[in-house]
Order: sequence, then structure tokens, then C-alpha cells
Amino acid sequence: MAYSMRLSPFFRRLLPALSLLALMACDKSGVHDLGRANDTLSTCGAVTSTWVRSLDEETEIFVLGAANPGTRADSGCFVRALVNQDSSVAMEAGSFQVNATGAGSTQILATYRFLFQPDRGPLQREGARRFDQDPPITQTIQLGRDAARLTLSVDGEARTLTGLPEVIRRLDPTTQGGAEDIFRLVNIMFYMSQTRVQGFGATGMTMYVTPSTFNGIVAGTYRVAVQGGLRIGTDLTYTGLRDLTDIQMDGNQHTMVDLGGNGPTSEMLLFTLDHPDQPDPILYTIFYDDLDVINGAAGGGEYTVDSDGNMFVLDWMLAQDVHIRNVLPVGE
Amino acid sequence: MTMRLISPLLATCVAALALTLGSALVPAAASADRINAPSHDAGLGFHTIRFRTEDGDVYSLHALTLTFDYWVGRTYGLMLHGEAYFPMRGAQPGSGEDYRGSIRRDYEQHWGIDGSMMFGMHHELAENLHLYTGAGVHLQVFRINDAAFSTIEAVTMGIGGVARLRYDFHRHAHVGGLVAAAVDPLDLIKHRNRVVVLFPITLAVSVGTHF
Repeated sequence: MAYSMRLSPFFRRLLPALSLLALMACDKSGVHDLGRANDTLSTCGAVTSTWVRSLDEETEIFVLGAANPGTRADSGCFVRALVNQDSSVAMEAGSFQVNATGAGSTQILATYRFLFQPDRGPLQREGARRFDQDPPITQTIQLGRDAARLTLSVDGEARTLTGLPEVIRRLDPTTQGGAEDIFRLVNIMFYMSQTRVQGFGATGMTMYVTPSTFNGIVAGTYRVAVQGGLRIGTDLTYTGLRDLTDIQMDGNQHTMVDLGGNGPTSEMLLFTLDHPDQPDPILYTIFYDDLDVINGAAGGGEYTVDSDGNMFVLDWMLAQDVHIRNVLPVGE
Repeated sequence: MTMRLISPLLATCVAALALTLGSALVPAAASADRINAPSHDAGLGFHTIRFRTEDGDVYSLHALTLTFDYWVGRTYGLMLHGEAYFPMRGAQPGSGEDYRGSIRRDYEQHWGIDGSMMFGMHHELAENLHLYTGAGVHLQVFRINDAAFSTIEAVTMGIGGVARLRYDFHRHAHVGGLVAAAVDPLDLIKHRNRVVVLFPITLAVSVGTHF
């Protein structure tokens, strides 16, 4: 005979209270240092360039504080990101310095990590985390050029990168497939910004009941605000944010979920992609009104997008399939 | 939040004063029933915490606290102790940012809740003078948070104790002072760099009623 556990009325009332107590203090990244800043990244400024390559399951991105790296002695900001197609991100930020031959080094001041853990509930997820590097991590680098592409070696690991403007040139905003490719590309930048928000994607987000503002890598800012209670509302507000040199984000994404991480999203984000050949940029808007969040992540519904004046509907699963292999194949 | 917590304290103080004025001519005579009647106390005091984390960092927080105490029993009884405290100063010497300064100034959110449920003993020291001591389960939670800085928060559990002295200046009213302390070896949040051990200590004075 199988017994079933039936909770007394007392315990049925006690369990939600204990859950709320646990949620009151749930920054999984730990007890932090007193006086530790939420955001240590400084904006690079206008003189930057972004370089990318496709890997089997990831997109590798470099943002360098130089307009034309690999052609002369240079120094500036250095950001490297590995964005997995499932939205997991590993990122490092610091500075670089090279001589006229392109040989030099980096100083990495902070590394970031976000793991996509849909199999876990919000209470069990790690969330986005920042690791301050004291002393900074030093890497040897070698910059060079292969026609229009950048050759970059980090600690002896060589790679050839394509400029982001060339990737944007290959996009076609007038077709369903092109709209999906743009969706994937802009979400890569979206996920990079979320990785710097400590606790993002987990219950550590409750720390943002006091809203925090974060700096963009190239320009702009974004603000994270949470309204707590039995239903948790989150607003991600972007103001001229550029984490990649040639793409800008503006707008607000609003999410309202219950304690199980389930609920709707709403509002919209506008992406401006600077086209290298056309005077007008590609304008791409994602509307979030028809998307459902399940267990703390996109889990149902669809995205409606305005792709430079053309309306398309995209399946929600595209958010966990972000890559640019369709326009920049692996090995190119 | 401070104002919301001060209102119940003020209400308790007003009630205690009203009872005192209303029966000012009635002496605080010793009585078996009154001595062992349930008592409620509200107080104000100083609360300090020291704790160590897995990374070996040592933190200290110093807070203003509002206390609430309850006793019911005869020689032995149930003691409840609760606090709402507000860290004002903090320090983390020798690690991290080597912080030492005003939490009240630097952080927008700085609060904590502390409570113990204890088995206690009552000692009558003299006429109208009583000592209550107890030990039991202790639970506390605090959060220090700001838009610009990372959060420091913990929910810990352990063993706590209270020693409270009570003087009956009226048949239904008394004043008192207490010392509360605890040792919490359990951090209930599964996060990185957990609290390894936490020591809170409280010194407070209070006013209360008994019937």
C-alpha cells in the first residue's frame, strides 16, 4: 500500500511563508564584499570596432577600443564574449595594448558568466555572475590583417575574424529567413548585456528592487528594475545602448511572473543596425506581447517583429538558437 | 520602514503609560498571579553582528534595534524574542574593498530581522525584581542592498539565548533590560561564499506590560 503525505493546514500555510523568506534573500552568487560596485565596466567610447566569427555552437565576439586594429600600435578597451546558441555567455573585459607589429598583451579586470539552466527552477539557478580579477589576468595577443579581416591570437590561440559591418551587409530584412537571422544577431547582443547583470536569470534579481544602471561597452546605458511581491515585475530599459559597435538598443522589456517563474512579457525593443553601404540603418523592432515565460525563461508563444518595415512572426524557440552561421559560416 | 516599526513601539509605550497613569495609586504589590502572568515587552537597543564567510572574510555590522519579548509560564516557560534592526555601520577589514564606513549613508536598503524561540526559566531576585533566562532556536535574516553596490544578505539559523531583567514599578507595568546572543553555524541560502558562522549580540532596554 502506498502512503501519501498530506500536509496539515498549519504546514500548508507555513510553506509559502518559508518560500517567501527564502526569496527575500537569494543572490546565489554569494555574500559579496561591502562596497563592491554592481558595475565595474567603463564605456569604451566611440572609437571601437567589433569582430566576430562562428564556431560550431558558439559565436565569438571581440570589441576592441580601436577603429582599425592590426594596422598600427594601438591601445584601448578589450572585450571578448563567447555566446552559446542556447544563450549561455562567457565574457571577459579589460584593456589591450599592442605595438606597431601588433604584438602586445591584455589586462582582464573582470570575467562574467551566465549559464542557461532551463532544467532548474529559478531558486536553483546560478544566474549571471561577475568575477573580479585581482590581480588582472594578463594574456599575450597578436593582431594582424588578412585583407579586410582581422587576425587575432590570444595566448597562442589564433583566429580570423570578420568585421560586424560585413555581417550586417549580408542580412536581408525583407524575408522570413533574414528576419530570423537579424533576430539571432541582436539577441546575441541582448544576452551579452544581461550577463553583466549580477543575478540575472535567477532569484538574485530581487536585489534590483533598488534599480541599478549599467554601462554599455561602446555607448549608452541600461537599467534593471524589479517590483517584488507575490508576482515579480522586471523592467529592462535600454537607452542608446551599444555593446557592439554597429548595433544600438532602445526601449523596454517588461516581464511579470509568479513565484514559479511563469507569466507574460510585454513592450518592445528597437534595434538600429548601421549598414555599411546604405545611409539609413536597418530598423528592427521586437514586440514581446505574445511571448510567455515558463520556469523563468522564454517557453511559449511567439515574437512579432518589424524588420525594416516588414512584419514577421517568429517562434519562441529561436531565442535558444542564437548564432550567425547562416550569414557567417563556421571556418570563414 | 523605520517609521512603520516605530509606530507599534510608540503605541506600546503609550499603552503602558496610560495604564500607569490610570491606576497610579495602586501599589506594585507582589502577587503569585501577576508574577507569572504573560508579559509583553518592547524595547530599543544596540545590535551587533560578526560573521565569517567561506572565503575567510570577516564582517561586522552595528545596528540600531527594536526588540519585542514575550514570556508565559511559571518557574519554567516559553520565551519569544524578536528584533527588527537597521545596520548603521559596517566593516570588512583586510579583504575585498577593505570597507569601513557608514552603511546608512552608502546603502539604500539596510535591515534585518532576528528571532528566538526558547525554553526559559524565571528567577525572582527580590520583590518586584525578576530575571528571565532562556535558550533555544535562533533565526535571523539581513539584507544590505543599493543600486550601486552588490548585495550582502544571509539567512542563518542556530542557537540563541536571552537574559532579561525586569522591574515591576506598577501592578501591570514594568521596565527591563536584556542581553541576547546567538551562534548561527547554518546559512540557509545555497549560495557561493556562504556564511560559516555568525554571532549576533544585543543590548536593549524595554518597557512592558503584564496582566
